[in-house]
Amino acid sequence: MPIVVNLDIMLAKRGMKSNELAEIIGITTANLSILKTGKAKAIRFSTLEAICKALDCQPSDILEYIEY
Amino acid sequence: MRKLVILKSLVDFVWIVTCIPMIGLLVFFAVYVFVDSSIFNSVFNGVFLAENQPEWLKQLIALIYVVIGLVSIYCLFIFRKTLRYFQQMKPFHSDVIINFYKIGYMLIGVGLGGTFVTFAARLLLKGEFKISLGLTPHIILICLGLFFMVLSEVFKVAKQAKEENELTV
Repeated sequence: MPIVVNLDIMLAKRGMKSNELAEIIGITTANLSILKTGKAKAIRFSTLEAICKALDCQPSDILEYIEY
Repeated sequence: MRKLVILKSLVDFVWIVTCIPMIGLLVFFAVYVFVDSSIFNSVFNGVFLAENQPEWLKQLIALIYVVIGLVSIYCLFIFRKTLRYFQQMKPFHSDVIINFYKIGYMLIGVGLGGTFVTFAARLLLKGEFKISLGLTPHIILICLGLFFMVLSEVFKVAKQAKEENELTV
């Protein structure tokens, strides 16, 4: 998929662990893993909003379009 | 779920009831083809009136009927297997979709084959030219086959929707 999820990079920048983020935004670590590995087919606006709030960033910092 | 249990029990019953005569039919067919061809006339005396027809033609038609019967039983077997997946709460398993498609395909084959063989048997063995345009069991089988194929497509779409839902974070 040409949409790349840069959640790892943002987590590293904020010095936050995956399980901490999962706990803050209220999703399971398994679901966060799906999102991080790019297996997710869709993301809810509410989840995106929660991630942006927790990491203090914009959606464009997490999602990126790369043409293959 | 009680409906599923009733359906499974009924299908199991039909499966057992169908398998027992099928063994007898296979034995009869084997005797008819390989041992004594006069057995056919002694059992079905009066059903096929043309005794002057070549024996190989009768044997060929009998073989096609046996194949159609076996395919129908195989459909029932696959349907039982599919129902087992439903009982295991795996309705969107890929085997279910494949099985429904297979059943549909085979039922259409049985319906079409049955129509042509019945027509040919009437024409060649009885010397009768008859086309049934009404509600015949073969037409119902073809409709059922198409229904199973549509069901397979529906399950495929449902499986995709389920996967997408599961992969939505």
